Amino acid sequence: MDQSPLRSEDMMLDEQMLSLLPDDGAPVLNRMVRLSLSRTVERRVTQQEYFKIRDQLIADGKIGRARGPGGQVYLIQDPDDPPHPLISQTLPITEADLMPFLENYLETAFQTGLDLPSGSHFILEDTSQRGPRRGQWARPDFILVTLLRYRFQPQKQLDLHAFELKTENGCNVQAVHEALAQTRFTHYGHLVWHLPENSPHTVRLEDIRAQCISHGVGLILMREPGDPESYEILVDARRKNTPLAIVDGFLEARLTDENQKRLARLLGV
Amino acid sequence: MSAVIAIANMTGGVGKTTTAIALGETLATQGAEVLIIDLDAQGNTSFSIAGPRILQNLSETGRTIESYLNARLLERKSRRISDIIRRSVSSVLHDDEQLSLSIICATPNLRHVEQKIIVQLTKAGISWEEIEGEIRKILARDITNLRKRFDYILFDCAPGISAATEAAIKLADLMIMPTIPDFVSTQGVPAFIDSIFGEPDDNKKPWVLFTRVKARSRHQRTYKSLLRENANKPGGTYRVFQVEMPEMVHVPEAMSQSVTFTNTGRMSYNAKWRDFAQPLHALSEEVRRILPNGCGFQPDGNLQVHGG
Repeated sequence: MDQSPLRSEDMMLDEQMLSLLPDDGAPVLNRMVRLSLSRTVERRVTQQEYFKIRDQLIADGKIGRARGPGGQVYLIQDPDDPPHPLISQTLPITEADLMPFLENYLETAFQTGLDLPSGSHFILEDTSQRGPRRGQWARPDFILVTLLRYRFQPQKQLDLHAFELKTENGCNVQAVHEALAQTRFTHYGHLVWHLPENSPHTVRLEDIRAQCISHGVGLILMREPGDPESYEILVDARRKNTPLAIVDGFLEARLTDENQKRLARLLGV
Repeated sequence: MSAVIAIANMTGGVGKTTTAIALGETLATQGAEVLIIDLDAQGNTSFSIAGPRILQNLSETGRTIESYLNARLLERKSRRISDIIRRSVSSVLHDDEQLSLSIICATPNLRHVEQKIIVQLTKAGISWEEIEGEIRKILARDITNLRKRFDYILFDCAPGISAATEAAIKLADLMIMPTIPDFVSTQGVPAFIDSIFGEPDDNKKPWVLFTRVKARSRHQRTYKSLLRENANKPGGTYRVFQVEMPEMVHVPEAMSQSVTFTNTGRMSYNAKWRDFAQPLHALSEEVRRILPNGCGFQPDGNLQVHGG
């Protein structure tokens, strides 16, 4: 840390920096603060200048430092106030924590959204622990089978969906490719991302969304895990023409015996 | 020596503002000092680059192009153009550094000032040509001074023809004419060139840049061929860029000033322009190639282009 005293211009910059930080104590990326500072004072603020001022403000107890890629700072108000919710102080939410919420969503709001014709059927299976241990990207967290009955078609149509669940900080472009890889065995692939409103991880959303569009992978944002109405389908999945034999083999390997019997009964086989 | 580039077309909605901002930012990623001068009363360039807060402040403190033109032409006061430049205005980072982009903003008041200039000077018996000449004389003197401080000065001109637009085009080392290659957008090309230049000298011929190009459109292919053929004919009054700017869904999103403390997704140049960055870098290279010798900025050749 540079401990040399602040010059008068630095003093002006530190006041500007304090005025830029949100009053509610929300953390802001260092590079965002430096950029905003440069825009405010109409000249380039160098990294060296910025960190000198930032470190002095931390030492003075006026701002705090939060974790995150690139580092974040926030305005300290009353030390007795609880930290801003965006400053992660608690243990991160795991995929296992989110699974029951996703299951509930798929059985309620998602199923309603499919608008299945009457006489259709819906089978949901938690497959996160099923399937080969060695197969890469071959174990979706959930699979969903729909059997559609049309008015003038003699046969039923079977559609198989795969869902890959990712935590707030566990989702990246590779997760899209993971969901895509699962469509080797299914008709639809969906990526479900726990992304609360105002999450700092929103920075990755545009890239992930673009990749989903490009590969035909569905993207579902889980805003409030416990509230199915808060989920947003940002990208609709495109149907793949996966060969029947592969879909059949996948269902045999992933569905429980009970669900296999139920499916066979519904198909009349 | 710096290069002055005017981006103009009589037709609206062909991508002048997008070209001005995207080209300006691309040149800035290569290390150039760039100044964009907004001559369009719609103020879209100003709003997109400066954002509402800075733009309001500039408007309230009289640091706009209309305030400058009003002072120089109507009030006959001395006003330095450097006083109205807003520096360090970009909200875009490249390699973690802010782009070296400055702007002279315009607001909708520019329309009133232009009307006042025409009414007052016409009443005083001054012709349209003299008004345009007067604006050009004032701008030329001030731009000469700015050439020492910026590698590129880009004029984002208003659609249609105004005295300021005409002056900027005549001052420029290069005029870029963004054009959608379709029936409607190409109709005005010869008329616009004729109204500005008559028959332009070889070194003053404007360069048509195809924008919002759809690779699969037969209609667009027909008009691209037609314009390229006409450009190559003896006596052709314009030239056509080799590079074509494709239509991409995220470009309108990139134009919105949406970087905030909590939504920093488009902070970097590559995240902002994504796949559009490739044709933009190709455009910047072609611009450098066709500028008169010695104009513009020569980067060090280590360009980082997104995608591929």
